[in-house]
Amino acid sequence: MSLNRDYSAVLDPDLVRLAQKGDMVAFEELVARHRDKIYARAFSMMRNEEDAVDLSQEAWVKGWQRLVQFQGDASFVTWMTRIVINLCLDQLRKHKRQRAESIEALEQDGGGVERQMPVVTVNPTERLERSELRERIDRALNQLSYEHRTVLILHEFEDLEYKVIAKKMNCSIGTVMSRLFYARRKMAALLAGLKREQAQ
Amino acid sequence: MNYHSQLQLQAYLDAELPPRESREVESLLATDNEARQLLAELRMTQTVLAENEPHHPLPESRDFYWSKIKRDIERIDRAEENIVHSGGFAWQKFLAPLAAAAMVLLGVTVAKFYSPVEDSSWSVAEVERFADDASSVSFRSESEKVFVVWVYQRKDDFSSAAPSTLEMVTQ
Repeated sequence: MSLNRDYSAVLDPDLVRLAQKGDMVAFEELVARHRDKIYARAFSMMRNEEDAVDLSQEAWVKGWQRLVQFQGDASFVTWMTRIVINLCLDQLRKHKRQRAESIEALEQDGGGVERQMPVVTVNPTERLERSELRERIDRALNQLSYEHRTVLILHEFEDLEYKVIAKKMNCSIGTVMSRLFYARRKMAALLAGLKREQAQ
Repeated sequence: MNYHSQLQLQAYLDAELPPRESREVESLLATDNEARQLLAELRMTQTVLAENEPHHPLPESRDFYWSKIKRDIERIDRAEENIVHSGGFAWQKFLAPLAAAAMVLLGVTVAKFYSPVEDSSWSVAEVERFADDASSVSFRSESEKVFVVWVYQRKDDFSSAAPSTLEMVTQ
C-alpha cells in the first residue's frame, strides 16, 4: 500500500508517525531528505569520508530501531544529529585510546599558547567568496585536534550549551570553556593566515 | 587581562554568565581596550563559523546509500525474529536438568545390570550429580520393586521443597 504513495509532499512529523508504525518507505523519505546533513555532521567530526559514511548509516539504523522513543520534543533531524554525534564521539574515543596524543594537543595543554596569540583585529574573511570562505574554514578545522574541533562544532554549529557539551565529552565545563577559547582563537589566526606568516 | 577574565569574556559572549558576572564583564569592557578587541575577535569567529559551515554532500547515490541502511535494518530485524521464534534462550534453562535426568537414568539402567542386589528392603543413596545447578537423589525398595530418582535444582532445598523433576523406575 505504502509503496504506491508519494511521500515527497508529506511533512517530517507525519513521516515520523508513519515510520513509527513500521512504514519503511516513509523512513526512506526521511533518510533521503536529511542524509546530507547527517553525513556532513559525521564528516565534520571524523574528517574522513569512509568513517563518515559508515557512521551516518549506523545512525540511520539506530534511528529506525529507536524511532518509538522519539517524542517530537526536538525536530527529527535534530534528534538524528544527536545520534550521529554520539556515535562519532564513541568512535573518536576509541581512536584516541589507540594513538598517542598529538604534538599539537601536548602543546595546547602545556603551554596555553592561546593566551599569547595576537588578537585578529581585521576581519580576515571580508571580500572572500562564500565557497572560498567555507573551504578555508574547512582547512582550518582540519588543523585542530579532535577535542578542540569537536567543542567548536558542538557549540558553533549545533548551538549546544557548555554543560551539554561537557556531558557529551565526559569533561568539566571548565575544560569545555578552555578548549572552546583555544579553538576560536586558533581559528581566527588560521583564517587570517597568521600561522603561515609566523612559520616564515 | 588574566586567563580567567578571558574565559569570562567568552562566557559573556555565549550568554553563559549569571547577571552579576555579566555586569562585571561589562565594566571591564568599558575600561579595557584589550578586552574589547578580544571580544570582537571571538565574536567575529563565532559569526563567520555559524554562517559558513562547510558543505560536505554525501558521496553516494540515494539508492545505494538507502540500500545499505535497509539491508542492515532487515538483517537486525531477522536476527531479532529468530530469537523470538526460537523462544529466545528460555529453553536452555531446562537443558541442564534434562541432561542430568537422562544421565541418571542411564546410570540406573547400567547399575541395574552390574551391581549386586542389596539385602536391605530399601536404601537411599545419592547416585551422581551431572550439572552444577542440578542434583539427584535416588532410593530403591526391593520389597516394593521400585527405584525412584529425584532430580532437582540445587537452589531448591531438597528437604522442604518439592523436587523439580521426578523420575520413577520400577524394577
